[in-house]
Amino acid sequence: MKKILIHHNNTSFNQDKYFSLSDQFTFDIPNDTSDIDVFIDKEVRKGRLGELIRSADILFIKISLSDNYLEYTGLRLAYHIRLTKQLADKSLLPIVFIGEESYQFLGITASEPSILFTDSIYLIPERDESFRKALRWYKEGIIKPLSSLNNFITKITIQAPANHVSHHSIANEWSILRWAEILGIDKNEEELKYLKQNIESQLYYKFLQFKFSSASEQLKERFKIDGQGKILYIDDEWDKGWSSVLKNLFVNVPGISKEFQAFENTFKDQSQESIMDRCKDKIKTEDPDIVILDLRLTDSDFNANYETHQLSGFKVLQIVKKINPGIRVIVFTASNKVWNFIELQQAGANGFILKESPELSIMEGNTKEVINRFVLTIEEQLKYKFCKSLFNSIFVIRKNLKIDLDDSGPEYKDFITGLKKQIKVIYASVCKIDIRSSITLDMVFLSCYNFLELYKDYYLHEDEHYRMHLGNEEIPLKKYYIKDNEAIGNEFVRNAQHESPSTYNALAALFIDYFKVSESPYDEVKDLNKISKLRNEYIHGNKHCFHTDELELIMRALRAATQNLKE
Amino acid sequence: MKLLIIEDRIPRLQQFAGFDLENCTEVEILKDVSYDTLLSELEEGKVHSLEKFACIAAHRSALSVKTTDTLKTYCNKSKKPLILFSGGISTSMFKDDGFPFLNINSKDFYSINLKYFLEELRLNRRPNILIIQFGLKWKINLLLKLRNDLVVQLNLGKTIRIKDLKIGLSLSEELTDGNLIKLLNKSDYAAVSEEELKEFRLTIDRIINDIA
Repeated sequence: MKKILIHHNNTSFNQDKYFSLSDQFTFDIPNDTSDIDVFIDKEVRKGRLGELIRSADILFIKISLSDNYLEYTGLRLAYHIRLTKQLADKSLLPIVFIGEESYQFLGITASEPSILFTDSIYLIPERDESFRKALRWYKEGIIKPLSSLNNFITKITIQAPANHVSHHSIANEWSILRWAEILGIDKNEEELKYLKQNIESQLYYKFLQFKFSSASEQLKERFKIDGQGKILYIDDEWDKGWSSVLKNLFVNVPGISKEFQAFENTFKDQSQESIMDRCKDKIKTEDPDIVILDLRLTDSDFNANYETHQLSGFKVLQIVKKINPGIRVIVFTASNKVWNFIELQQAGANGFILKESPELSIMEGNTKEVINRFVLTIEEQLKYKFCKSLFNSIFVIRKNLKIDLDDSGPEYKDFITGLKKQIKVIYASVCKIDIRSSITLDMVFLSCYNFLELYKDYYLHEDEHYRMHLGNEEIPLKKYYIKDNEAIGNEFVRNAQHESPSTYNALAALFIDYFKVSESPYDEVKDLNKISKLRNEYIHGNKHCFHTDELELIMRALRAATQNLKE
Repeated sequence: MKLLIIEDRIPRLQQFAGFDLENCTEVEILKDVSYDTLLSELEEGKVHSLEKFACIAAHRSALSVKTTDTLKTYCNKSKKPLILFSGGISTSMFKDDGFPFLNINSKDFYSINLKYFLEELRLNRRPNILIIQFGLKWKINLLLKLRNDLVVQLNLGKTIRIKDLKIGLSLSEELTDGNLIKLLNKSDYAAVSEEELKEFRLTIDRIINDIA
């Protein structure tokens, strides 16, 4: 039987009659150690302590391995021994703690006492007879190794480091590494390498790895994404690994790979105001189609009393939607509080992805599901890219309608007021677009068409000779048609059937002869013709619904119709 | 007597501390220009600004390797307690190897224990950083170590003297049992008998149970 003693020169069992010097390890944390887990992990995996453990049949560990007794470092070391995969079967060794304290006392005073109440863990006082008894019991098979870790894992609890709600969240880092694993990303990439080195030695991380080991054994998988667009990622943890993970996720997507960008801003020590200003500038400069947004960008966001609307991410969402409601915002958060979602949805958030966390990862394969949901959400939101362009057109049209009407006649004033009201209707209908419901697209097209019809009502006049004129300038109405890639216009003559000019007739003539929107108006006339046809087909039941490119077509006509407005 | 806090993330300080830390008279939190000035001085190895403080606490990531070394060297020389805190520290770790030095998680640092520490600093003018680590349980920590030392001595069966027990000032205040006082009032070099050690141990057991 090979027995090993681990102590801090704080036991009488370090005498030769109990353990030879070569079977002892004096645990002494060097002064320059930054973290106790880092030291223990290194010793257990690569140091002399690990060598001794690998050679042992039974371990005797002083409950305290430092001058500061209440740290109970012996307990922490025992957890590491159980949870360090590199020790293989030796992680199951029976462990005998040496200390004067009772189980009950340790249970009350230790921060992580649960290991004491698991199998193959024993506690003896520092007395010769207790030591002899332990050896006898080992020989008799009463003290024996743990049969497997499965039961052990269910019996222990390890608290997340106290700062778990903030930027140093091991749960979050654990999640990043799981994504990296499933996506087959090289963990030696700079950001991930840092992460790996810093957290893989942490006891809490080791615990999570065991607890959710089934998921980490999944095969890596390639996730296919359809679509193209510009994606901006705003997260204070961009440099903690998420940026690398997302870049890798998009790397094989030709339409996105070059258009994905993380906002590399140092958020942590900035005020919310400063973050808002920077985000505003960035969004305006980059003009993304999708913003992937974290809700908590700064320390103050971790204030437990903060409500959703006080979070910096919520404020960024409002800024994005103010710049252009068509920019899609996917909230990428670790918060699963449903009231957050409702409030965010009301503020315009278009999608939600929960950053996986151990608390949420209750089922096998969860990481894959989360990534799948992420991919589907990106694909879904890219389909709404056209909305941004529709809103941009609305903004231009609104600007065009800002006309000084002081010297204008009442009819023109009414006309402009009518257009302004109609653009509000169009704005509201674009906000309501849901590509799964084609009627929402139809509403936008028809609202736009109504906008154009107002032109005919205002500009078209009939004189006493039944001839049609345009506006105050009394320009005779021409009837335009396309021939040989040219817009040809002939005088509009009423025939025997009392032919009235259609909206198309009126608009084509207005565009060419009144607003003079273009020197060669072939495209405008062609577009108007198409718009008119689409609308008529729809009204007469020959067209089922409008498509996104048709909305962009009619919106272009609205822009042209407002660019040279005159009374 | 004051505690100096070198913190680059003031919002977090306000968020974590569950009491009005910034207006506490026993603490000085450097901000803005004075913060930058101190860090520049430490970078150059200048430590005169630290003289007026009884204890120094610093956010680990606010310091460069050089400034950390400067702080450690200064604290070692002046025997002042040093606390380094960071969100990345898994569990607290105290060492008294030359000077009292505590590594602690930020959230554990900005806790009610800091309030107890500052109260102790105000009342007894003693920077006891074990209070930051263990809060009101800090005495149990010393008693457990003392008990362990007694057990080891008893098992080794060697002659030991009063001074070998290494009972510090803060602990001796707790050992008010009549027989114990008599024992501890002996000369530092007086031998302690096995019977006395056993009795001492029983007394310590009782005190520990009473406090726990």
